[in-house]
Amino acid sequence: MTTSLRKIHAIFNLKTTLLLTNTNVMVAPGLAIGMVVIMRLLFSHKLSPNFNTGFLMGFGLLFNIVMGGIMMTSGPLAEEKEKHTLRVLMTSSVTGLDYFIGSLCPPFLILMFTNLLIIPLAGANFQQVPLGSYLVITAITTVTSLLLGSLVGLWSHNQTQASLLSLPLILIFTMAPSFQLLNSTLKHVVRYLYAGTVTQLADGIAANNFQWHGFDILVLGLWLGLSLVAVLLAYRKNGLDA
Amino acid sequence: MSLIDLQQVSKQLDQQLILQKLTLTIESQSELGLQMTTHESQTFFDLIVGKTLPTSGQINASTQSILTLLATDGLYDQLTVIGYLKQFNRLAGLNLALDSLLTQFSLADVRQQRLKQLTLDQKRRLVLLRAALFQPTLLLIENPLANLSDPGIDLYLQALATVRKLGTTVLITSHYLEDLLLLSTTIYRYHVKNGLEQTDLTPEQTVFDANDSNQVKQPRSIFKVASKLEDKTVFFSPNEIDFIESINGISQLKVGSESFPSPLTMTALEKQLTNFGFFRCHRSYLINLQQIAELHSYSRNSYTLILKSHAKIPLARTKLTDLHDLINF
Repeated sequence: MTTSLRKIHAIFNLKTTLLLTNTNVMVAPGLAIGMVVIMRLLFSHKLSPNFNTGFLMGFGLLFNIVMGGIMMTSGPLAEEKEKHTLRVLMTSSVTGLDYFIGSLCPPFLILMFTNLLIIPLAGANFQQVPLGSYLVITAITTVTSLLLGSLVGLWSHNQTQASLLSLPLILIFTMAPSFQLLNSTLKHVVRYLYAGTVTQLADGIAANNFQWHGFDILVLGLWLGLSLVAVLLAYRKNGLDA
Repeated sequence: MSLIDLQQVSKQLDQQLILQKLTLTIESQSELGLQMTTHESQTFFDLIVGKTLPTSGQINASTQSILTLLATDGLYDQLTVIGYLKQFNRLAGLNLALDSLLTQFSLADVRQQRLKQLTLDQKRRLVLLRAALFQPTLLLIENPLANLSDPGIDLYLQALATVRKLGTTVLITSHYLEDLLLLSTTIYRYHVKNGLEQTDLTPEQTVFDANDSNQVKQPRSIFKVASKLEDKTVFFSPNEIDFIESINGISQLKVGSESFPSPLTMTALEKQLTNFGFFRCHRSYLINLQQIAELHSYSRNSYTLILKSHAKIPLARTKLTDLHDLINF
């Protein structure tokens, strides 16, 4: 498989234009920002500042990373299959690797920008955030979500199927960490999810005591590795436009 | 120079034989047209681009620069014409001047329009222009004139001529022979039993005597058309024959669903059968006028005669007046 920077750049430009004009998927980062702002306005006076910041940041990051990440790759890929535009690209001397890199970069940048925007919106300031760790953890979890979305896109034949397959993933990875405080078993399970690491990051930032744990690194690495392997296997089995 | 050479190629998919006995050489700058179904066409394209391997036979390709345009290919509706072309111009990496190409493809006036606002005619030309940006050595197009308006067909033919001028060899497939007559100079028809058969488009030297046109054609009561098979000669009365078709230079008598070769040329048959109500509606076709059921005009340039047997026969535009005079419709 040969790849070309020119083609990746061309796909990147095309995908950025398509993504920014696709309200169906751009709603996810918008919803994350909107939810954080609304919840902050509603609950800021009722809860402790630390809890408030941690909860809002965790909530916003989960919405953005999990929902945005999965929707921004599964939907457009399925749409390209459904509307037969993917065949056009793939017969224009574009390789699968060109397509994946060019398609994953625009949503990654949009989601990372939103991740940074959530810091002040959740009531935290940039001095209290360990920016390096924040960027690394949100980047790894964002890429994991994008890969899971790609997996859904590869298995789907149309947008309806992609939405159906995405829904359980989005529900599990956004709801479980959000409601872990209500159930100790759920809290234990969430530690094994990549999305759980995001809420731990937010809680640690809010409490000013964030630290890296070996277990979290292992969870992040495993989810990223497994998602990548799953995408590669699905691509090898079905190809992009099966 | 030969771009693609297929030798006795067959392709079986899901226990069904889609293509067989395909022997074809695609020469550089040739203008080939293949009459085949959509499924056959897509399977043929997949074989040519190497997406699938043939079940049997051999394909030799001297170029990898091949693009395919399918009738089902989609567009990014939310982009503008110029935005869409810029993206693909970057992808092609040849950085062609889009302004002059937009003019040549009759799309200059819609350059800022979104693709969802384009008509089907404009979309087809846009797809052709997108392919031209890559300047492929070989371009395979499926059913390009389907559902186009008359002006749309004329503009598409101009755009296609531009693509050919740029040095691309174009092969076209279609269900309709009349479309292929507009788009190609060499036409083959695919039949699952016989493979590709060339439709004879070269004009024959007329063998009529100079005085023939002045002679009054008297109906004759006894005449038989002979067909020599392996071990026998079969004779047909003119009224048994639906039509006669020239395939690979051989006149084929079509009787019901069967074909019988005749040793006579189309011109000789025309001379003999005109008195029995036969009419040369096209260089490759001689029809029994008693068998005509309908005349269809799919576009300003193409007419089709439907026979009682439901066979579709192209009617040359120049022959329409003659037919009109003969049967007074």
